[in-house]
Amino acid sequence: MHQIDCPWCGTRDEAEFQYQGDATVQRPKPDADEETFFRYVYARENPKGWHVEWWHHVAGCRQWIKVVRNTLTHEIDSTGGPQSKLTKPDEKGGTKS
Amino acid sequence: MAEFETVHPLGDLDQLLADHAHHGEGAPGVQLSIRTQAACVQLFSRKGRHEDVAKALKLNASPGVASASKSHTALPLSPGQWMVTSNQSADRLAAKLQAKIKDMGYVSQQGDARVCFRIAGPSARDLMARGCRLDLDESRVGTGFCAQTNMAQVGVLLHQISDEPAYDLYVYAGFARSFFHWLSHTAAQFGYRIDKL
Amino acid sequence: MTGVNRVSVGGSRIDRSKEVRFTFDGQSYTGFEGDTLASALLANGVTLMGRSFKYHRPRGCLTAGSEEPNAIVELRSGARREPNTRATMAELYNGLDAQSQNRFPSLKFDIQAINQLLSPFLTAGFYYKTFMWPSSFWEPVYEKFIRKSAGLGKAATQADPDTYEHSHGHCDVLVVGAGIAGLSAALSAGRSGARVILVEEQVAAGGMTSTATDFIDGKPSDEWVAQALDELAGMANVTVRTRTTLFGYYDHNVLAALERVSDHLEVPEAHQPRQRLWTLRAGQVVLACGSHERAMVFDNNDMPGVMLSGAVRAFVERYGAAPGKRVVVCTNNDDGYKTAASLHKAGVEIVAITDARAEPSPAAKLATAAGMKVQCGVIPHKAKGRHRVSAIALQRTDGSSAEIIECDCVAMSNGYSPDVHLVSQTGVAPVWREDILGFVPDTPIRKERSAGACKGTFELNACLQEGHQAGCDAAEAMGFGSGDPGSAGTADEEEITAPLALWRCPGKGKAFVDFQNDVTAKDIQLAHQEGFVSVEHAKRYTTLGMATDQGKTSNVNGIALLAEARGEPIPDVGTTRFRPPYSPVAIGAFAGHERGMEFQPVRRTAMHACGEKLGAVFVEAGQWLRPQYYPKPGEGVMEAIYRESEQVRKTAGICDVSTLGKIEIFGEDAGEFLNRLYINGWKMLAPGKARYGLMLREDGYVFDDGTTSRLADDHYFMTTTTANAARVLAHMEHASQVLWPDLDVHFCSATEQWCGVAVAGPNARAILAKAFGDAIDISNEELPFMGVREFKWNGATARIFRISFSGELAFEVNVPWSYGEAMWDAIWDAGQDHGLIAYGTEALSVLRIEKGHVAGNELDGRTTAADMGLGKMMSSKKPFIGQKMAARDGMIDPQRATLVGVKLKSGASRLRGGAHLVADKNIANAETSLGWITSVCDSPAMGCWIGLAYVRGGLSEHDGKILYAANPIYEESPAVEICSPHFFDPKGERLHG
Ligand SMILES: [Zn+2]
Repeated sequence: MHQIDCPWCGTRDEAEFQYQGDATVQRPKPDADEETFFRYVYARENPKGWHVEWWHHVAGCRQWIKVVRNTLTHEIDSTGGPQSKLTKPDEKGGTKS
Repeated sequence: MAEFETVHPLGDLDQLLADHAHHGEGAPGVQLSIRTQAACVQLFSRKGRHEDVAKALKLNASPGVASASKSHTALPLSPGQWMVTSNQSADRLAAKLQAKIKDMGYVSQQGDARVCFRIAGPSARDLMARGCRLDLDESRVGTGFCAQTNMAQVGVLLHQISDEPAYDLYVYAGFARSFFHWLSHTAAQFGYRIDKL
Repeated sequence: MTGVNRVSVGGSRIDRSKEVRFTFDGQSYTGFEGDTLASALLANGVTLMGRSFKYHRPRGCLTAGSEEPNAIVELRSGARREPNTRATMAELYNGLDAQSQNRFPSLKFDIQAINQLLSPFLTAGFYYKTFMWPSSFWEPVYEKFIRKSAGLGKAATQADPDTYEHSHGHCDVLVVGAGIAGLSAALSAGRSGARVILVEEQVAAGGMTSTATDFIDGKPSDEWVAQALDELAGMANVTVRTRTTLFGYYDHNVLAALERVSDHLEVPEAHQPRQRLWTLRAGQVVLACGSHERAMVFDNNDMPGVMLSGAVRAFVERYGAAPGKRVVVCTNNDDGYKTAASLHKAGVEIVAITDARAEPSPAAKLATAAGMKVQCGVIPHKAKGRHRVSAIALQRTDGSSAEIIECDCVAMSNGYSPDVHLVSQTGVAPVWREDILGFVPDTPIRKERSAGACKGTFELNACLQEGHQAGCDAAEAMGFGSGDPGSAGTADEEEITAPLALWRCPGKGKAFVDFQNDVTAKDIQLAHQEGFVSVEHAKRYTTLGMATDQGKTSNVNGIALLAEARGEPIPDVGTTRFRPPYSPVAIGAFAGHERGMEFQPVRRTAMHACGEKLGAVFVEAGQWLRPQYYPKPGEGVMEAIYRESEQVRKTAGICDVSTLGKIEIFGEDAGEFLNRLYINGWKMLAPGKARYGLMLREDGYVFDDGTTSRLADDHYFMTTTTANAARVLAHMEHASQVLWPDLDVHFCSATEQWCGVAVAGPNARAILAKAFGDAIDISNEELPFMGVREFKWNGATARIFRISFSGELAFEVNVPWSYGEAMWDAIWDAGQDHGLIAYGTEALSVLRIEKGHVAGNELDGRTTAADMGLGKMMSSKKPFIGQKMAARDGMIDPQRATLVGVKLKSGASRLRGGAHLVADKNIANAETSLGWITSVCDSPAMGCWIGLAYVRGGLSEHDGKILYAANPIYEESPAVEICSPHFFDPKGERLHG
């Protein structure tokens, strides 16, 4: 059972959250072409390892928070608010301490 | 026209209290109270005005801790949002808050949407542990602690009102009966008394 | 004295002054308070406690704890009947009623014991080999056979009368196991100031320490244990929970434990649950869960009376119950001597001690000095006897035979396997230690550490030290490094001589490895011969370790035998991974309160009682209960629905619409926000006006619809469908927090702040005018169609909306929750002279079908706005969510199925939703389907059955044509005429009235 550190509420049980998928995709500008929107809606990486994900804190502060989570080990490296810029440990250059 | 009467989401409270007379032997471990009149107003600060609103109303802007004044208590809900509760009338509270924050934010009445259950007594913390996933140990949280969470599958706005400890739980009105059913069922093992507040 | 085998020494857990009566297979016995069913039976000289799973061989208990594979019984009767309970864990209470399992007609004479004669056919992989073909036999024949012969006990058929509950615990340090290492850890962590929870599966602490032979700090070990418990009880920061099994170690140091609150009682005390499921969140975990003794694998090693050495000791020391009067101890390590010493002290005769090791260890010398007969280099060959052991044939390790000794109990010890279940659940792979012949945990992955026997540390003094250190380390990791942990207890130094590997005592008979699943040494060899060489394959093929005990006593023996067969060292074979639960957990415990009416919370509207008063039949709409229809006495469902929908169009009806999602939206950019959410425009909507809005998902399909009003320049009030209320709110939160954080928009759910009714029908205005009197003017001039007003009613703020779902002159009125009943009553009273009736969700649906309004059935997540005939609502002047994807070729294909109306012409008495529309009623299949019917009703306004449907080509291709509504379930294909979905009052004249 994941314990997720909501930047507002503190550490909470995963039961309070709804998983909302890949947080690395960016909504295109409204005038972007169809292919760009198609990729935004349908194309997703399915990484084994570190991933940045949306977890909606529905039973708490109701914020969409970002969670850097390892899909293999379930380890959580960092969390942040909806506008935070989070980096995966393997992108930080160097190993996680 | 029939005489006007408002109805509590738990129905006839006197009947409810009669149906749930004292449970268990000896001194009750839990004192349950149902608040009948509570003004609740949800307060929003506009973009970029969080600090200003907090300052104008002397509110705590950081999470997890309520700020109390003589007339009202404000529970931070999320960045720039508070639930303000008071014993005065909801209309008056809403008007007063709006007047103080002027164009820095908005208020929305929520008093009818929520029912407040108060849990006190020597077994209050144990009862909370039956449904609440949060760590309510006195080494972690004390009077003023507030949080939104789930208990018995129902969304709860929790506010610790004393170190005794005692807790106020704000539950959506539609769920009030279901939640009360769980609460009274679970509290029975400690023995409980129930009252209006 | 109760029981022929009760000894006067020992019995730390029993109260000899309190006799307890119980029955086993209908026979009455007496035991003591504190006994387990197994100890009480042993004390009464009963060793036969069950039959084995496959061969139905007679079995007694092998162990004294939760790892028991043999003595599995049904407890209690009737609604409380509980199968597959371990007799070694069942605490005795007055009137306990237990039945043995896996036997027919009786335990002593079991017909299926003939399986033993068939055993050449019941070897490893038997099920796979036998029940292969024909496949048509799988379910009707084979499954029945397998279930009958292989099934363990029978579950109760009545609802469980007891309650189960959940609870949550938090701590800095969780210590699992209150043996010596665990107690030590809890003491040091607790003294350091950390918040500690100590859980122990057994009713008492102390673990496998011998109360007879072990001394700590100069005191008998049980005195030290009692003192430790006293100290822990005195610490406010320490909680000790006994009868609590830690069964799952999950991600992020969340663990689950089952507390058996009332299992030791006949029925739970008033208001107490039977069991309590704990979710524990721990900063650090100290695993001190001990070890499991292994059986020696020799012929007939499963005979009642042949038991693990530690279990024999435990029965004597804890319960004063001697499993026999003449005991032979067979060991390959020093533990056997501990048992011998303990039995000796209790006055039980030790006929002989055999030790596989050639050289006498110091422990052996002590035993010899005490006058016991020790035979080194000797191992068992075969147990003899019928329903219990009567003699043991021995052999020398060099293969030569040795004497046959008469006895009624064999206490065997083949060494101890550290209990690595929980640490294995965290993903730590166990590593082999040849010196102790056991797997120990590798480097921790989680915030945990092991101490004591579960780490391969068996010396008492080392357990004390290691536990103490683990507690200190765990506390320090949680920031309690500066606390004073005190010092560890000390035991007399003892020297443990290494055990001798002895995986199979030579023999030709049945030598069991996994007792619960009846897996023999031969089965493992066979699996290997047949190519199942990987440990994971061999496990599944032989079912080794797959019973409810998860092979606690058998896995290492099995792996070692597989290694032997492969000719490889044990570490190369490796282990299988253990998974939760550590021991079986009742489904009721997982469910907790969430069963029956509490399965999920019920949401009631403010006017629920008004519906009840009028005799409403309620229907679940998500978690809500809504009035479905209001039958009059003697009226059927269909009649009631028909009457209600007819009456609304004739006079007026009132309907509880409180369950619609309601969202208050504020902010300078609220209009812009709505513009981006909805396909239609919102900025030009004037305050005091409402508008119908449609939302798409990003993929271009319709998401939700509803009416949204502008109450002020920067204040809107949105309604959503009941079903999508939560999803729409989440969608809006995503939009405002993630997509467009710069917009000044704020919103909150107001679904329960407001309750609402719809009042519809020609008399609606007259009724509301009477109900609200001077509070509000609702004339057509003051409140035109799509107008919205806020007003004060009896001191409360009320909102009235001139909107219509029924196509009639209609209003929706919202008041705060607590005013709901009063409003309903006021309108109801006012309506009595105007023919007002109450209508439910069914009539609501009839009315909207007659008007061609889409609802949940049409909003099925696969339809576009154009499919619903609402394509023109899509604004081209502004961007909105779903716009781009809604324009893709497939989404605007003219051959898409679009909304039409259908009228029943002939061929059936009614229409049915879900029927597929075909041109030729004789050829109805996936290829010929032109579309499907979504909603149907018996329409009073049209005088026939009508429905809404999606049809390829839509109205432009099919208007006026006859299609067939094929329904293979009902074997009917009535003819239907395709028409406009706007059946009734297509010009909408009535709602402007
Ligand atoms: Zn949160």
